[in-house]
Amino acid sequence: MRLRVEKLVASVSGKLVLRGVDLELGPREINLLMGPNGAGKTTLLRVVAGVGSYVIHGGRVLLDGEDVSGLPPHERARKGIGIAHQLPPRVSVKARYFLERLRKIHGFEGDVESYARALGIDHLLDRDLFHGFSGGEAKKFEVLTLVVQKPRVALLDEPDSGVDIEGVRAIARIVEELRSHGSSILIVTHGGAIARFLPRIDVVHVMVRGRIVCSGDPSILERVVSEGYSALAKVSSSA
Amino acid sequence: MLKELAWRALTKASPYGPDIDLGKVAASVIGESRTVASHISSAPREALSSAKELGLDLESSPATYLQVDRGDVYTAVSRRLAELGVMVMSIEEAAAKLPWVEKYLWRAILVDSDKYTAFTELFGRHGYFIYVPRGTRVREPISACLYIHRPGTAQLVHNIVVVEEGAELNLVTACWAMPTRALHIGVSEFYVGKGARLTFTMVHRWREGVDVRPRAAAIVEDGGEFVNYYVHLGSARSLQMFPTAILRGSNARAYLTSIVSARSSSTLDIGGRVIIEGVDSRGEVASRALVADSSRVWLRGELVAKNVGRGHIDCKALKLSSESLAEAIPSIRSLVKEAMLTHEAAIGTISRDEVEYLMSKGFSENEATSIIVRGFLEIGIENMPSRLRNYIDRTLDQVARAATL
Ligand SMILES: Nc1ncnc2c1ncn2[C@@H]1O[C@H](COP(=O)(O)OP(=O)(O)O)[C@@H](O)[C@H]1O
Ligand SMILES: [Mg+2]
Repeated sequence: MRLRVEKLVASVSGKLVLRGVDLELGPREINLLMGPNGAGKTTLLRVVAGVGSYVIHGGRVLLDGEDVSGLPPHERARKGIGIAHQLPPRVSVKARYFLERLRKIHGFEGDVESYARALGIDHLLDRDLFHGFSGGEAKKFEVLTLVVQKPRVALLDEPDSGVDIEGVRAIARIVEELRSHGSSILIVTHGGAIARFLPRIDVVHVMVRGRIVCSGDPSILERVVSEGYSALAKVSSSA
Repeated sequence: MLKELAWRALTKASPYGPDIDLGKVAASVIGESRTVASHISSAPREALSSAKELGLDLESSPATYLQVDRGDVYTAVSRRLAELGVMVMSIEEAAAKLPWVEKYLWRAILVDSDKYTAFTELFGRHGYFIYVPRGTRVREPISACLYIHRPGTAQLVHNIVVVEEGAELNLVTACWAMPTRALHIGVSEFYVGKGARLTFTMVHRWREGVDVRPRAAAIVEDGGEFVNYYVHLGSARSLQMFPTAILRGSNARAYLTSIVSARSSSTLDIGGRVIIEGVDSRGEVASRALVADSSRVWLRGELVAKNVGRGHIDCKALKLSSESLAEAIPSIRSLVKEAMLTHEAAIGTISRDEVEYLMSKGFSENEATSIIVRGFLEIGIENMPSRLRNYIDRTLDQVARAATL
């Protein structure tokens, strides 16, 4: 397994958010993570990436079998865990300068600007990061950082929320390119808008109240969209 | 007349910055007469190599001025620039050789502005005279360095830079000190002719016991442009400066930018003033200060509109310690109806969210801090020659690295 999350239990501000999460992501797979608002999807991604002020009560995160649970976020990123944040903070640094530094630490030799053009965000490069970016622009920029990082595991937190159709298509194309170059991809999505543009989805996981309640083939996506999460939650808890 | 005014101003304190007792300093400079003037190739190796550390290769510069302590001056002007009529020499030499130089002395700055200008008139030695004739555009940077080598030196210089109508000069100056105890006063008067352009980049690296009092003013004629780009790298015990750009002509421009890093127990009082006299002239005062340890920093900005024009002040401080003090004091004053003057000021610190975001992308905490600091220091200036831009970029990289060590 590329990424294995084992029995992860975590809380934030005294509130238990992850209640024993198990999840596996295979090499060159694209998995979706779905679940109602507040289920803990963002928390899971952030805990895997090592960011945030979460208290970890138990469990492990393994990257290609190596336990990275104790590592600070930058070391996890250097080892190949990349995260596209749902809500990146404003950072007072020019986007171009940031990307230049990012390219250096990750040894990226491609043409960052052409990817920025493909995502329709090349006009943002001379601005400070996320200062006055629209929601969609921030998502696209986060995807651009993954291109430069070429991570072993790419975690994308709602890359298709608030993004126009053309944008979702461009993001999907880049996600597929990352996958074809060897990244494993975990995407948090609500309506599954991005799924329509991806040639293949391997597994869909559903998280409810801090647990993965079911993992299976892409037909789950259809069921979630038509029936909602409650049906799935019942099925899995009675199983 | 000048001397008399100076004598009378010898006890006149500056309104800003800690006061310095010049009485003790005077004793050290009276009666001293040593002077050397020669080609840059005979300059002390150690002065040339420390200039290199500040990014300036004086021997390969198309024109250069180096002054060591008070009396030793080394210069060079490439044949090409000499043929164009570009001059670089000591102000003492210029005043002796060229009678017309006198009309530029104390015209942009009053000799009795304060005790520091007065003291320089009475006890100063040298300073550079740089002249670019009408219509001559010199894009490649010319360098001037003022270096203090001997402990206790009072380096008091009077610089004059004249950029005639339609000419251009990109002047890069570096000032630094080896000893831990010294005084530097630099009086600089800039004359920017019609449609002329002067970028004046000044990099300072001092030591803990050095007091620094630059006194600078520019007079800018119609359509002229004056860019003052100041970077303070090292600690000084105290630094106070408040350069003034007088936009005498119409459609003139001035950008006064200061980027300072304050560490240990430094007191820095910096900023700039733009006086809009000509119609449709524009000025900007921008300051960035990194405020660390127990340093204290005042960022001043002043715009005075005596005619229709525009101006903006932008002062920002990034506090890196809680013992330090930062204060921003922007001031705007309009004497006419149609001027548009604005200001913004901010004092903040590095937010945890920013650092964490960068860490999630693979930067260590130190790298993240230095990226944020570097981003904070960036002030875009248009139309800088690329070699100068690169030089400034490298210098700011140094500031950012040093601030996060
Ligand atoms: N910093 C925080 N402080 C308090 N509660 C938080 C914090 N972060 C997340 N939570 C709570 O944890 C739960 C899970 O949040 P999150 O992981 O963002 O959910 P999802 O991404 O699935 O919508 C929510 O109830 C949310 O309000
Ligand atoms: Mg979320």
